[in-house]
Order: sequence, then C-alpha cells, then structure tokens
Amino acid sequence: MRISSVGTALPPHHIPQAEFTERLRNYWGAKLPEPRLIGRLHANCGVESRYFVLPLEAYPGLVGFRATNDVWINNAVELGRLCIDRALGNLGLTAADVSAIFFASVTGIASPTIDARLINLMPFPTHVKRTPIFGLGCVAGAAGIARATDYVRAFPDQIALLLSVELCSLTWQDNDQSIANLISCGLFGDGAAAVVVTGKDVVLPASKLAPGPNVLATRSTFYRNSEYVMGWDIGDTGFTIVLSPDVPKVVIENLRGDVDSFLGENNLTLADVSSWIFHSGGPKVLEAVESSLNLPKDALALSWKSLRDVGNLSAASVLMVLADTLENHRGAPGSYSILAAMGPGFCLELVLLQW
Amino acid sequence: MDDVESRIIELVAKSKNLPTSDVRMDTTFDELQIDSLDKINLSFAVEEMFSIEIPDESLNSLKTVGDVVRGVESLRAAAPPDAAAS
Repeated sequence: MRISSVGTALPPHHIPQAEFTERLRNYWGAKLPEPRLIGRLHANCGVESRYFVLPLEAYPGLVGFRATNDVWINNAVELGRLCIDRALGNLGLTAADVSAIFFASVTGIASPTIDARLINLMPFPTHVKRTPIFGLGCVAGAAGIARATDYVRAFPDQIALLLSVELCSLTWQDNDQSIANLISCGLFGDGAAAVVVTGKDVVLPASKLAPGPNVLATRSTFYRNSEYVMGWDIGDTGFTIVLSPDVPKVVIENLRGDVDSFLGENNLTLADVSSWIFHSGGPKVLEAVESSLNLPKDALALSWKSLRDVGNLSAASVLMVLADTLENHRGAPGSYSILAAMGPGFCLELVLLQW
Repeated sequence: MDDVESRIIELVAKSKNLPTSDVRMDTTFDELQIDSLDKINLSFAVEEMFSIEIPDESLNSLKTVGDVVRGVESLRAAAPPDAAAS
C-alpha cells in the first residue's frame, strides 16, 4: 500500500495577511470591541498570506447559508477536478483507473456529494465506490489516507483516491466578533488536495515520478468528552467556529503517549522517525507538538511553511505538507515518517510511512 | 531592579493575582499559565503604561517576562525623548 501521488489546487485570490487584517478591521469598524485586538491576533497566527475563492469585497454579499453553500459547491467541484487531474496525471492515470473515492470536507455540504458531481464530469467508472466524509475537520486529511489505505488493503490490485476540498473562507460569519472567530478569520484559508493510494499489487504506468512511501500502519485515537475543544456550531447562518484555547493542552497531555504507543506497536521508537508530516493547525498547536515530542528545531519546518504560505486549510493542510514532502523532501529509502493530524472529536490520526 | 523591570513584574503578577516574588525575569508565560489572549491583553496594558507601541507581530517571540522587559527598554530607547519620558 503506497501513497503514489498528491495533487494540490489553490483558488485565485491571493491576499497578504496584513492587507486582509486591515480590510477586515475597516469593514467591521465599530463592531469590534477592541480594534487593536484583531491586528495582534492575526499577526501572531503564523500566516503571511492565504488564497480565497472570492475577492474579499464579495464576502459581505454572501448572506445566508444557501448562497454561501452554493458558492462552496461550485468552487469545490472546480478545485476538486483540478487537483484530481494533477494527482492522477503525475502517474499517467485518469479517473477511469480509480476504484474508490473518499471525499473529505467540513466547510460545506451537498447531496449528491462533490465526488458524485465529479463522476459526472470525469471518466470515473460508474461502479466506483464513494465515501463522502463530513465533520472530521482538520483530522480528515490523515484519516482519509488511513481509510483509503484500509480500502486498498482489502483490494490490493485497486487504486483509491482521497480528495479534500476546504473552502474555510465560506464559513464567513459577518456578525461574529468573538475571539474564536477573530482567530479563525486570521488562520484559515481555502485549498484542495487529492491523494492517490495504490494497493500492493497495482502496476503503475512507467512515469518519472519516484515511488511514494508505503503505508505501514495507521491508528485512530478518540479523546472522550472533549467535544468542546473544536468544531462547528451549526445554525441559520451556517458554520460558526468552536475553537477552545485548550487545543495545545490536549496535544501536550496526549500526543507523546499516543505516538510512543503507536510506534512501540510497530517495534519503533521516536528516534526511528526521520521526518514528520503534521497538520499545520496553528503556531500554538505546532509548538505543542514540538514540545510534546521533543522534536529538533525545524522538524516541522514544512508544516510551518505551509501555515505561513496558505494558512490552515483544515483537512487539506496535511495533504499540502505531504505534497511538499513528496516533491522536495523525500525520505531516504527505508526511513520512516509519521503523518498526523488532530481534529474535532477531539481526536488524533497517525499514519506510519516507510520510504 | 530597574524601573521597567519592577513595573512589568508588578503588572504581570497582578494580572494573575500572584505575589511579585513569584514572577522573575526568567519566568515563562507558560509557567504563569498566561495564554496568547492574556499576552495580548498584557501588551495593551504595557503600551499604555510606557506610552509605546508594540509591533503586532512581536508577541509570539515573547516567551519570558524578561523578553517583555528587554523589548520595552529597546522600544523606549528607540522612541523620541517625549514619548519615552512617561
């Protein structure tokens, strides 16, 4: 079972963080109880720029869940198609070669789902197995790879595709000036990624792309009674962020033990892991991960870079870091990497890779 | 203990209802359970106390009380004499 390729796609409107903050501060004006707060929060999100599906001036015109969700559907289909083409094209494949598609998003909903709409636009087999996943949030990039791996473990001569499209800007809430939403407005961006996971008996067409890492093992961990940590409060105006300051605390309290136990189960220790592909949750989360795992400086450099360049893309973030790893920072043959993300539940997904 | 140091230690201690003896230059904000939002609120209080403007992006690099003291001293040294007088 192998991660064979990743394709990514970003929407067209690239906005530097300082410009975004200034425009939002001016737009909200007197609605902000302390105008200085937004600048200070946004400047410390670890984000230098983000990509959005719409120009900033269009967001105030999105009134109500229906209008916003319609924009989400149209853009999710467009970005989804783009990154699937890139991921499959890297390998000389088309959608016709895919046996199962997993679609993960937490920023919009549709039925038929986005994967179904893509089947109408791309040459997927009509017998392709579809698994849309809503609600896993940031953990869904890692969990999606784990579920796609489960699939090809059962069907080793088949190819599974994970697609994540997260358009966080479309969860825009005009009347929410809470601290959680001010942080959310400064942290989350829009983007999409697709991952091709191949079974062990799949023979790919000859390509210039070096083989990706094997998936050796995966583990899901659920932290009971931590629903308050992160998620959505879903109401008439759509998705309102739930984001507790306790996220780093949950990481510090749990991550090390869970990683040690997972590695131990695979006869490995932390010292055996040569690189980390971690969800770019935010500065406090990444610092908590570094501290908890006692990682050397720069161990999470690619996650920090992704956060800086595109913001937190929820489920798609760890896939962006994976794409960068595959393209520019492959491990030495035989070396191990951990791909990981945490998200609403609160929960953790760990994926052990060997190059 | 110089003026900036003692005033900042007093401010930090007061914000967490602690005796000033519990706050030293090398005390980290993590040890005091001062989170990002507490730190931002402290930064506003420090700005008002010393009539300075702390750059928005500098907060993440402030890990200890001493980092704040040194940052304030540096901002005051760089400020015009009128602004630094208070």
